[in-house]
Amino acid sequence: MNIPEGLHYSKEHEWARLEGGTVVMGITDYAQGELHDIVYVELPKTGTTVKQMGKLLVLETMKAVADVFSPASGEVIAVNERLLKEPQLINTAPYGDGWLVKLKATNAGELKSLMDAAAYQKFIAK
Amino acid sequence: MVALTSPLHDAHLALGGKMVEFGGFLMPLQYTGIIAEHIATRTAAGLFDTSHMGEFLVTGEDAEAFLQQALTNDLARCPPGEALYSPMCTPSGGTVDDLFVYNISGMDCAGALPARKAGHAYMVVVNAANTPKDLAWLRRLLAEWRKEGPRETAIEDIGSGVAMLALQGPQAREILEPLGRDVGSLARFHAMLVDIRGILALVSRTGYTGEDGFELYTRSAHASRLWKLLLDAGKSGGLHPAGLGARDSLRLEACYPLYGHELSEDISPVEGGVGWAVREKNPAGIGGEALLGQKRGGAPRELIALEMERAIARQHCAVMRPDSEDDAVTIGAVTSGTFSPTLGKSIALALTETGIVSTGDEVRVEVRERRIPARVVKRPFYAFAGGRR
Repeated sequence: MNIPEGLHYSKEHEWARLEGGTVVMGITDYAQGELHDIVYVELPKTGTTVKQMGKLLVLETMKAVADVFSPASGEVIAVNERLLKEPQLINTAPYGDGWLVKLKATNAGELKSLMDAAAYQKFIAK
Repeated sequence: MVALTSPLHDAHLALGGKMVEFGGFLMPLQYTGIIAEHIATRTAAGLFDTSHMGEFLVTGEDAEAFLQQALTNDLARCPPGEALYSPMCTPSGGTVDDLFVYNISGMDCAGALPARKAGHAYMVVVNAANTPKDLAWLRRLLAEWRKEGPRETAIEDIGSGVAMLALQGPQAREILEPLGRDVGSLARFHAMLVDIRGILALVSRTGYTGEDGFELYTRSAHASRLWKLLLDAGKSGGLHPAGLGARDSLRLEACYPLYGHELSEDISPVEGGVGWAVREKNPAGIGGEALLGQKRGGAPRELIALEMERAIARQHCAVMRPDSEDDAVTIGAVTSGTFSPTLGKSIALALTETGIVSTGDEVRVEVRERRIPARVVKRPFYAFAGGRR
């Protein structure tokens, strides 16, 4: 199970990385492993505003539909359009090429309410 | 209700199977992944546990006449040693279930099944979720039929003593042939008793994947040994254990109906795309009159195949005909949808009002309140690859 240091983790299994005022987010390795075989991503439009832990987008697997929540409040400034043709990148590189959305964070301090790698490790071991 | 388990339950857990409830049974949805198992079955072979399916024995001198009345297909097409697909319908043509009948008359199946040799004997294989309903339905039909005169027919539920495995894919024959005498020469929809390294099984050249393959019935007590034997034998040929997830995406590419989706008491076999299994030769089969009428004059709805531009359509999603830029008329609903690993596209089956759309037309499918463009294509998405022998 890959849980990189330096990222912020939500209880809904999203990760967030702060790059200046921008939050890059995706789903964790644990989440992709549970979902398996992601075959479609319904990405939000850029300009969409979202509250922390508000519904951000939808992932579809062979058998299920999963909501993904936003780890931070803000505005969607970029979406990973590669995923429209290659949704499996979320399975193969959840923290890399499988990133989902970039947000302009309203309040980057919100990320402190999320877990660090050690706390997330404990959370999923429960 | 507590879910029942297959005799292979421990084997599934040992393989890391992700277990889900289906038709009242705890069965593996997948082992390594649905797409990998799907592709393995299309390119090499997949081994499926289908022990959740129900099995009945129908025996006695009047068994054939009884089944001929209960089913819409023509039992004359099912001599001893053969298997026949048939819907079982209500008088108005609704589908009670769709099933396979095996004519095992004169076959000494005792080693393979909890069944004594009988001059007139059929094994009926039904959908897991429908097993109790079907048994009650058949018993009621038999009781009514007996009011007309003495009938030599008995029905017995043998499902709990039977394991069913499906070995499917282009390598299936190569894997099975060395294990049992003559089994490789079995013709499609034929069945025979085979001694597979000491395990007796009733084996048929049938399946639900669109590939060549075999279905094997054996006593539950032998299930684990047979499962392991087949997995070991197939290892070098690329055989993967495959779960219900792949079974569903494979059957959907082949456009085989799944009860509760393309067939139900509200959906006739003609509507559900299996009107070919309603035979003129059996007009007295229950529902026959209504269904032959539908075959001649058209059923209210028809099954269409769709390729989606994006998203995955799921059962009950509305299918719409675009009327103008922003107006659309609902013409039906999706019955099944999935991502097709073979085509790399999102596909769906839908029931729509008859005669509204034809191949090549564009429709819309409503997914999460968005109208996604989809194109009507020819059925099936994937043509049967097994050939005829």
